[in-house]
This record gives sequence, C-alpha cells and structure tokens, in this order.
Amino acid sequence: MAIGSDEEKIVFNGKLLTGIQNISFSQNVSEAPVEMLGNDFVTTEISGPTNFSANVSKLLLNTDFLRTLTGSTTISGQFEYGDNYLDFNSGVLGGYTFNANIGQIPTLEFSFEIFGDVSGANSAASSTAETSAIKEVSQTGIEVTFDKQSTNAVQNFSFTESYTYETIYGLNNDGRPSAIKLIGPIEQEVTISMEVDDNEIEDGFSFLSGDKNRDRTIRTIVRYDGNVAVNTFELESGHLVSQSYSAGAGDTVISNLTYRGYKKV
Amino acid sequence: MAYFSYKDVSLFFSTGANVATVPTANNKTTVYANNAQFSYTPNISQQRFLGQDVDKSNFGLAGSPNATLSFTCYITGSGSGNFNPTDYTGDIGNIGATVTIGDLDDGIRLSGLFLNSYSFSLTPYQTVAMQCDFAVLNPVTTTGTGSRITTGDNNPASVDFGVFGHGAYSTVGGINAQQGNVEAVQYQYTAQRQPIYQIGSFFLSSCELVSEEHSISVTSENIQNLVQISGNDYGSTTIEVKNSSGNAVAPTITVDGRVTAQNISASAGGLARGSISISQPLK
Repeated sequence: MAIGSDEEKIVFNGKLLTGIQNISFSQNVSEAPVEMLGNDFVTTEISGPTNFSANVSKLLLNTDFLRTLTGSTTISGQFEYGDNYLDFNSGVLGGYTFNANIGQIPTLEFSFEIFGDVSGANSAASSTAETSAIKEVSQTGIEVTFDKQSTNAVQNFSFTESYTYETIYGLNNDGRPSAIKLIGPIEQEVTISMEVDDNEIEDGFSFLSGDKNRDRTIRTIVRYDGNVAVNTFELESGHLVSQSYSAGAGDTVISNLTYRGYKKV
Repeated sequence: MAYFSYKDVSLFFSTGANVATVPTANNKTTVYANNAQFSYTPNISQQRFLGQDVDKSNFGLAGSPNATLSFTCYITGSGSGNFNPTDYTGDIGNIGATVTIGDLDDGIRLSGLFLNSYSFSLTPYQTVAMQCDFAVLNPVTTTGTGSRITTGDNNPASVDFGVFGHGAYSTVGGINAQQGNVEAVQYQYTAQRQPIYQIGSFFLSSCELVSEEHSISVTSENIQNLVQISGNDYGSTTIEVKNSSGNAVAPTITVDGRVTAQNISASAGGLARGSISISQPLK
C-alpha cells in the first residue's frame, strides 16, 4: 500500500508549510573498514558523524516562511506521511535557490542539514498554518533589476544563497554536536539568461581594473495581489563573474550572466 | 625476493611485558596494528691501526644494539590477549617483551623490547589509534645471517563492530568545567630507560627505568580562560578510552600536573580555538 501526497505534511518550527511540491530526506552513515597488518579486514568502525539532510521544494505563492530560519541552528520539525511521523531537531538551513522562468510560477528549493535526532514519533506535532496565505502571481508580478538595459529580455532568473556552518563536536557528548556556528560571509549567486538586444560583452581586461563596478544592483521582486512586494532576492556587492553569448542558425542570441555577492553574517 | 601483502605480515608480542618466551599460536598477544616500522642499525665502527691498511675486517662492535620497533595500533582491552601499551609502562623488569614479525615460526624475532613512549589522540569520531615506540635492547641475531620475514599463518582474528576504543564513546573528566567543550585530547607517555650490559654477553643484563612522565594537550572552547591558567596547578584530568559497548579498553589515565604551554589560533573563515598542555612527572 502506498501513501498519496494528500496524506503528507511537513512542519518546520511549528509552521505547517503550504505550496510544497517535493520533500526528500536522506541519511548517510560514515562507517569504514578497519584494516590491519596480518588481516585485511577485521571489523568496521564509525569514522564520522552521520549526515542527515532534507530538501524542500515549493512554489513561491506567499511570503516565504522558511527563509526566516536563516542562521538558526535549532530548527525542528516533523514530516507526516500517512500514519507515520518523522521528528527531527537541531537543523540548519544550508541554502536555498529561487528560480523564475517565463510563464511559470516561481519556485524555491531549500536544503537543510539536520545534526540532531531523527526518529519516529507516535503522534502529529502541533502546528499552526503559515500566516501568509497562498495568492496568485500575475505575469507582471515578477520584476528583475540588473545592470543591463531592459530591452534585453530576461528569460530566467535564478538566485542562490549558501551558508557555511562549522559544526563542533566534543568528547562526552554522545556524538552530538556541541555547537554549530554560522560562518561568514554568506555567498550569493545570481544567474540570468536573456535574449540579447543591445547588450555587449564586457571587456575581458576590465576585470583587472579597480574601476570595474563591483557593487551592481541585481535583484528580483515577486509581487502578489495589490502589487505588494512580498519576496525580494538581492545580491550584496554584486559583481559579474562569468558571461557567455551563444548564437545558432535559426535561433536568437542568448546570453547567460552570473553574478556573485557576499553578505555579512 | 617476493613482496608480501600487509595482510601476510602479522605482529605478535609475548604474553607479558617481561617475558622471554616467544609468541606461539596458542600463547601470544595480538597487535591490531595498521602500520609498523622496524629499524635496526648495527652498532659497529671502523677500527684503524697505525701502520696497517683498513678493509672490511676492521669493523668492530661499538656499543649496544640500536634498534626500534614503532607501530600504530587499535586497542581492545588490557589483559585481553590483545596488545595494549598501558601493560608496558613503568618498571616492568629486566627481560622486556618478545616479538615476532610475520610468521610465528620463521618470522623476524625480537627480544628485550621496552616501551619508550606511546601517544594517542582522542577526538569525537575517530577510532583511538595508539602510536607505540619500543626500544629493542637485544641483538636481532648474533649470527652472520639474521632472521627473515615470511608469510604469517596466524592472522589476527576478525572482531565485532565497535570493539576498539573510539572517541565517540570515550570520556574526559576534570577539565570540562574550566575549558568548556573539549574537542580533542592528545595524550603522550614517555619513559627514559637505561640498559645495562655485561662484559662477555651480547644480551641485556638489566634495564633501569630512569624517569617517566606523561602529558596531555587539550583543544577546547573557552579560550578566554587560557591566559589566567599559565603555569597553573590545573588539577586532575582523567581519560577513559572506551568502546561502543561502554567498556574501558585501558585503565583510566589520570594526569595531575601543571599547565606547561598554551596557545590560541584563529584563521579567517573559521573559529578561534585554544589549547593547553599539562605535564606530570611520574618518576
């Protein structure tokens, strides 16, 4: 017997998430063979902490709640599937990616690392609904600002923010981390794919110059009913790190630009 | 000469730290070693004489044997028939241990082994590997041809998961309150021994334990406490090396010494860390 998606729920920090498209959990155990003089294999031993990760993919149809968990090292929650309950704690948000394409609802994909306990539970955790209800995003509700002319039509905008944590383990602690620290800077990256109209590739030697613009405004805003900006993704100290132009017979000129930024913790 | 795979080169000690009986199939101490180095430099020198040419016959004995056996091993428990360096510390007697490398009957046989030092690191997710350094105080051979390494046929037995001492299950006591989270502990034991030889014999007559001490270095969290404890009488720190069953695989090590060194390190993109070293003379 299988479990349908209508029987699946995910709760993070007491919030029952909405707009979820996909959830996945994975566990990797670090156990290695012990090799000996006189015997090529005698046993296995634990060689590192067990890694547990969770990925959550959602449609961005409300004011996103999960991004508010950035920097928290005490994220807990429950995955409910059918009559089964999976509890977890001591999680951190490892990063997320926002993606917007023409004619599609924008998406957010989150990756979490769980350093605490992951175990079955007997009952559903209490939760409250997200305060931001699902709303429709209109075709004009997504606005991209970058350092090129608007005549160069943006086809795709992707924003990724990645977090680096230092996990500290100690003796006498049952294998659990003693501390988890968010280490800066936070790396941000934007990739933009656009139809080229009047844009020109930037001079390769210009990157050697201190005059090169390394504080470009690169952002996207997602608006809902009433034209209220509810989700903004913006680079800090944005600078261009790669650019490509491609042209093919029977096709238009496409350019892919990658910008990177760094944010203080 | 054929090459041997590591799985054909066993390392066995006699059953006791001060036993001349060679290891046998039914009477041996197994070393669960993951590497070993045997080094033997004959202590000979040239003797030159006025009015004579020199040739290879002019080499003569110039001192006691200069041999060492070093290895890194995992430990399962003291007195269990498996090797544990804590059984070889202190004043063990005048005979020393006897060892076979390779085959029990035809392998390299060493005698008069005394532990000079052993050390290990305790970190949360590593099997405890002990680095052991023995001095070999008897000649490997007194004949023109020495013993040779041959394929062993008494391999260390496989053991159950988690039988070896492991940082995930081990404990450190006495230091946490002041230093906070203990990330790692390095322990070292050293002994200075004086071998005594007798005219008319190649072999060891007796071995005196001259001095011994042990020390620990602790990497921990509360670096702000470090400066205040330099030279301090730090109190007693205990280390219990345990396996996954919670059983101690070595006697509790107690270091009751003074802080002899401290340092703080920090690098961009990481956390600042501090460490202290504590030493205690034992003899």
